Amino acid sequence: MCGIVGVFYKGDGAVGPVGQVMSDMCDQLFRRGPDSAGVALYGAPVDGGLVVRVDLDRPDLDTAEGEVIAAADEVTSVKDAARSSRSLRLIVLDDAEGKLADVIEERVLGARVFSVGRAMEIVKDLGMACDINARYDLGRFTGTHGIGHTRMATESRVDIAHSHPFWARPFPDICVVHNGQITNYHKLRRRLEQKGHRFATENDSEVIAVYIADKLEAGETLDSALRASIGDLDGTFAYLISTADGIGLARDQFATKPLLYAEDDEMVVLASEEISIRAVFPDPTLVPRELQAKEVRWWLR
Amino acid sequence: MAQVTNEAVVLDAEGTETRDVNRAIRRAIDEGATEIRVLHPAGRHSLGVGLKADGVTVTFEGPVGWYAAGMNFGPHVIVRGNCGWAVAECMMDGRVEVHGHAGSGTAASIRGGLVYVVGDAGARAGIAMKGGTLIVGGNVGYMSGFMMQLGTIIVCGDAADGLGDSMYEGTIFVGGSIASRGADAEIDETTDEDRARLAAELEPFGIDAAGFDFTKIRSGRKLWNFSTKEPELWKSAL
Repeated sequence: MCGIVGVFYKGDGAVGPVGQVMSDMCDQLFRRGPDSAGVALYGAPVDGGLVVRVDLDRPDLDTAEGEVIAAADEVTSVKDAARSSRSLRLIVLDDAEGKLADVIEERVLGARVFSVGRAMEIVKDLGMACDINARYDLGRFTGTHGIGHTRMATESRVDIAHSHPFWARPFPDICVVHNGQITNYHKLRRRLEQKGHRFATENDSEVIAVYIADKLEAGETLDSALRASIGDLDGTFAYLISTADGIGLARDQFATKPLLYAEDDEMVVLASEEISIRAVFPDPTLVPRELQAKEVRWWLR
Repeated sequence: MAQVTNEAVVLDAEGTETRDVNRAIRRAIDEGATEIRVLHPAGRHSLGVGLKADGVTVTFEGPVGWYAAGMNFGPHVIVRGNCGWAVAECMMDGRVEVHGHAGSGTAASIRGGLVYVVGDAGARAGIAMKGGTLIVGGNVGYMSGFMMQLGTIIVCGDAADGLGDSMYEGTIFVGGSIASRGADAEIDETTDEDRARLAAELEPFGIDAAGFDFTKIRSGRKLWNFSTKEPELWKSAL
């Protein structure tokens, strides 16, 4: 059991308090996932650069920060760096060869790159969503959309790297949150590895992110990638996939994992349970809808 | 001594632990209240469960979460909003009305009483019902009536795939379309007696049964006994 949430502000240039909304919605689902929580927030795209989020599993955070900046400077140029708790946020010029994350992790002990993108920033940690909000100061984050997760670990270990959201490494701006189990994980992972993709964790949900990103890279639409996933992914799932342009979702053929959404003219919110939607949409006339088995849906800018 | 009063007892769930809300409902019933209104349920789980009382109405003025009104014996529970998964599960007797949509597993394993959902119900509505009646004004999701053992499901809208899969007994009526029937769920003839019963069951909710052409689904009973001569039949069942 896990909780997944998402928010998407409709229309060109529409933004909202994504950080606070994701935190409030995750808080309502803490019973579905007390192990860890995480969010992927999409702010204003960096002009002529990329935003990178690096987790530093080190007691000497200042030294580690310096080492990461030095490593990043070898592949690109670091324009800005800021840190809240152990999450280091870099603005870099580019990542032409998609090697930035690998180089940082190879050079710096305890550094893990959670996200690279023009807009996407992934922050995740052990414990409750409200604590993570406070620890990483997410409340002030405004943006176009975001997804979040509260985790009850079943298939892989409880640590920060195995928490959601999972970045579809090395594809910028694509990540996933998932509730369920992917039972053909090893087969899918092998197939994707044969195509040259690599995985950062042992978590089954990571395969969904890479699977979708692989299809998008090949030129498929998000709609067709989502529809293909219903047949290709075996197991139980309700997942949200997020790209630079918006959010997509799919639910398995047995409708084993819950997922609802509610929308008005301005925004769409998605969650495993209505209680989470009500944290953002208290208006009783707005009725959330539960997705059917095999249903896919997306909201793109 | 419990004092019987005709006035409604009003409880506000906001800022109160779920356990304390349920305790307050029970206390009000013990003290003789027959009308209890709960404000601001806000989609919270496990509200109004394990109540044993006759002639008592408990109304939730908003959406409730999962397992609402489960394991009840007798009371009339009204939800003025949506409900999550498994509303009224294992209800022995009583009545539950949801004036909105319901999640998956609506009326799971009820043994008696009546569950009425004004809107749609999710996947596996009426799973393993052992008696009672489930009425859904809208559509039902995937594999509704799965392994039902007794009782009646009446769906005014459409049924998704796998309707009545592996049902042992009981009856399902569908007023709209059926995407597909599950293993051993067969169409039976809707009789005049059925139509009279449907009219009587739906009339209290302002639904005119004559406006629908109900399809009746019953168990083919082929899965009741294992036959080595029919391996294909067993393979097709889950």
